[in-house]
Amino acid sequence: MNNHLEDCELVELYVLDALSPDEKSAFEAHLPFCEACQESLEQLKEIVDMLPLTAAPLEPPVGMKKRVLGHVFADNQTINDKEVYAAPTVDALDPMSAEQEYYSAQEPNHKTNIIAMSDISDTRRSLSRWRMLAAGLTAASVILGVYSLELKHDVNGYEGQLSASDQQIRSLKNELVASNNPAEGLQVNEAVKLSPQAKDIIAQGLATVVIDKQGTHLLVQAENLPALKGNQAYQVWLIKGNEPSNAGTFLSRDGTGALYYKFTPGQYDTIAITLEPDARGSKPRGRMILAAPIQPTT
Amino acid sequence: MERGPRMSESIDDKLLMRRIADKDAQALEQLYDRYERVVYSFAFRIVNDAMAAEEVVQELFMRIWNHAERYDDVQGKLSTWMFSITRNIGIDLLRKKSSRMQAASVENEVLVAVADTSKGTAEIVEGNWEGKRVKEAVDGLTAEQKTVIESIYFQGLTQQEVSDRYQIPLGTVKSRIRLAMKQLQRHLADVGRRERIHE
Repeated sequence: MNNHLEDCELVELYVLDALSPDEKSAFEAHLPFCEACQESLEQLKEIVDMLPLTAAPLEPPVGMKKRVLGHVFADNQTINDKEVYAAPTVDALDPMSAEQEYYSAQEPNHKTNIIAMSDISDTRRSLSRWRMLAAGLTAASVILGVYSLELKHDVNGYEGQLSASDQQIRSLKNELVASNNPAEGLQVNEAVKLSPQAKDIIAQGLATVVIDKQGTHLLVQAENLPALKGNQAYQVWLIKGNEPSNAGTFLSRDGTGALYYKFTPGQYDTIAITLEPDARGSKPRGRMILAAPIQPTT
Repeated sequence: MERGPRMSESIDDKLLMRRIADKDAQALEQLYDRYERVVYSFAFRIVNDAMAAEEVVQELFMRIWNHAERYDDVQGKLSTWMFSITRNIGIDLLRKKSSRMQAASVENEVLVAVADTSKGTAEIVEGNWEGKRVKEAVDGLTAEQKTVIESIYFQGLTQQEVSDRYQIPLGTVKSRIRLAMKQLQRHLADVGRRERIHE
């Protein structure tokens, strides 16, 4: 009898799923023989069923439906391409605004976030080359943007085709970037598309590694970045294993930003952009927005 | 309309689930449209991170698509079934996440909360009567009662884990839960009745 009463006391905990597996089985063994518990359970279930409604109503991330249903249906066709629905839209970046971002990243109050201040003289020398490169990339991006817009229309149900197109885009992008090379004798060592690191992020980015006599340079451009609030800033990281190195800070304007950085080749395997609470961090503290693997550039 | 699962829709729900069991992709899309916000909001409430919440929603619809036949409409409303799966997935994910993830989530919460203001106020108010009532009922609980409900239902702790984490005797956890549930029942009895009438 005592046991019976004790079991009855578990009904609220049972319905909330607060019991350990043992306690749960004990209660489930008791339930069929106790009408009072069966009745309570029915009533309590209704209450528990309402608890999810206490969650603040939120707007789902942009594009979630496409991604979720895309994965569900793609899974059936055993297509394993996480980026299927992240249609490659590297639209045109405004080189002027990119340049402005470059300078704004040099503001004194951001000096701790080294865009390698000591590298500025080098930076200025190569800036003209960089401008040309940026212009080339812009042209490439426009073409790619138009191309990927067309792709977007076909997104539903053409996963396989899309991933093939993605490869096409990559080679096209490399080609276009490479076509800019000879004028300054620049070698575009690598151009990688940065992928959104959270599903609610629609940002797109491009990281380009250029090697010239001055050394190895990194140009990062991004667009559709989430708007910055308060002291927030974007930080770029070059990562080797689990060790991130700060490659500088930039502020976005209308969601677009860019950064230029000179670095020692061959040390990193990943490039990432994070959204930081302020521009003073030496380690990533915020959320990762964009990232891509990069090849060692040795 | 946030709730999605209106009573008048319960028949539609059953039909949709039958079509989904027959692999009707359009039916899944309709179901998705109907429940997207409410399950996303609930998932976010558990995992407290936009990306993780989307993962939960994705896994939920994956399971619905692959196992729609497991839903037995005799047993209860579709929303109950979906909420229960959502909670299971969310809590599993929560257990797997590192502390780093949890630390980062506060910022995300702020971001999403801000982003959400774009939604029409009328839309939130209208049709969310039920959610409001439940929220009021929960708000009426004592801080201690809220904590145990939060820890158990939204964070997936067992009564023993709650007792350990907050260093309160197991008996106290039990009594808080019982009292909290009784009080919610008192406040929400009429909501439940209303639903049954609609049904």
